Amino acid sequence: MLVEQHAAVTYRLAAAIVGTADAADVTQETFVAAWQQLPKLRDGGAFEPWLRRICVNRARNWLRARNRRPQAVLDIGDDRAVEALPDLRGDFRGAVEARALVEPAFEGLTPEQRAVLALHYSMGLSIAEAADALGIRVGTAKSRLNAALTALRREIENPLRDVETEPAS
Amino acid sequence: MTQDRIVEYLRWRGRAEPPVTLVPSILGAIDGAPTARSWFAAHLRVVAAAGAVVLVAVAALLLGQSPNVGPPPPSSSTPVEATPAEMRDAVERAVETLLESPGVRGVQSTSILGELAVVRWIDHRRNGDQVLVQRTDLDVAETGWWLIPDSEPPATGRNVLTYIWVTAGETFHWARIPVWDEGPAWVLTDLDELPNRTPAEAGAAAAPAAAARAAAQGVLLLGPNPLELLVEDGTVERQDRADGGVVWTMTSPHRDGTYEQEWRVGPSGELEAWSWDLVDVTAIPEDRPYTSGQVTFTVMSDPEPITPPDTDAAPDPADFGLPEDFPLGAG
Repeated sequence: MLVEQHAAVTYRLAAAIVGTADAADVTQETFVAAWQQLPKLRDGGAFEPWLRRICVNRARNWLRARNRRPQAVLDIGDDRAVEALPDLRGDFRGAVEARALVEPAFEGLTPEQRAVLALHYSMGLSIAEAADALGIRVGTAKSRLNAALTALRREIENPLRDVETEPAS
Repeated sequence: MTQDRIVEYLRWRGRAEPPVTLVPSILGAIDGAPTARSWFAAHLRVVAAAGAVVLVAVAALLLGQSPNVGPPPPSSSTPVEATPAEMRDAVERAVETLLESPGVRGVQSTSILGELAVVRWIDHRRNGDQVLVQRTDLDVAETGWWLIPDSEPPATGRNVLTYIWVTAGETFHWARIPVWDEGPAWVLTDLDELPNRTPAEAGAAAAPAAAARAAAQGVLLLGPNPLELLVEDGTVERQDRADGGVVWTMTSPHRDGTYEQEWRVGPSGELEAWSWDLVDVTAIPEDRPYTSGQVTFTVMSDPEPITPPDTDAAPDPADFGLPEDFPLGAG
């Protein structure tokens, strides 16, 4: 039941790094790679962190290969896009507006920055677990995490971000 | 932009709901991949193969109740062209045959652009008694996110509304979770008070009322009147299976898209499953936005009778046999 047991969490990690549009493909690649590399895994109990490392690597490779420029989920310059949303709950509109700002900024981060943010914040892993998944030291993971947050904030506060963006390939 | 908002967004990215086809697609990819054997690899392979039926059942949202559900049996014939009228007749007979079974378990799911919106668990008896549990992910089904190009629902699995409808003999009880702030959790309703609307007439927002009526009448739910989708201008193919079953497919225009349907009829003539996808659409319908769905049935030869709920107890789908890991259960 290894596939069934780990598919959902692997998918969520992939989605946190590359987005939901490509997460299923990355998840599938991860399991195929794991299946092919299983002979290298001596300790069956270490399957989960091992699979996580494969997923992170696959996700980073996917992003590099995709070479996609930032894309906004909502065109935040067009108020009609937000106005069209039904205001069913108090926090919904705010959350969508926040997403409209943060998501394009996140898309502008490097694969390494996205991965460390996804591991620590999206998946709730400790710095040590994130470091293990990234194959780096704990101290390096800490500094990379801080740098990623700083870069994300810089992207959010950059008003020219969309102007500089080239059309998606 | 506050730090909390940024962290909230990052956490949201980790809550994506996998598509129900994820596990079967992984297994399919593994099947096609070159392999390097080891004891551990063999272990995974054997376990994966042994669990294939269960995993396909996961894709069909049939959890722990599907002895006759699995990969389609090998076909004994290539698909041949058929007419929409032939298909409709066959489907109607298959539904009637299914309803004549002593008991039927059904699991249904509908999605909007790949996001799981509604799941239903149906437990039906030949005498018309029926339990229907419906879970709706409100963020997916009712926030209108699909009207915005390239958007996604604000969350998934966080705000889930559950209805339980129980028809037993002459009584019809229903409850919702979260329960109402005031009044009893279980409501005993006169059937005549229910809205007289068919599922086809009711939009997504009115679905609970329409579903309630169908449940009260002992109607086996297939979603928003699927026979309406068997249109005269559809392209139909029939494929006979080696086990005597038949697979019917129809491709038909629908608004500005295309419906692709598959109806599987078992060797005993009963409806086994129905699935559909609305593809190539440029605008998702506002009133009925579901773009894909599937329902799979399991016939029970000697089912327990359905009894009215204990109205003193808090409504709990598990009391009616709903598997603990049934989708959208976290809300």
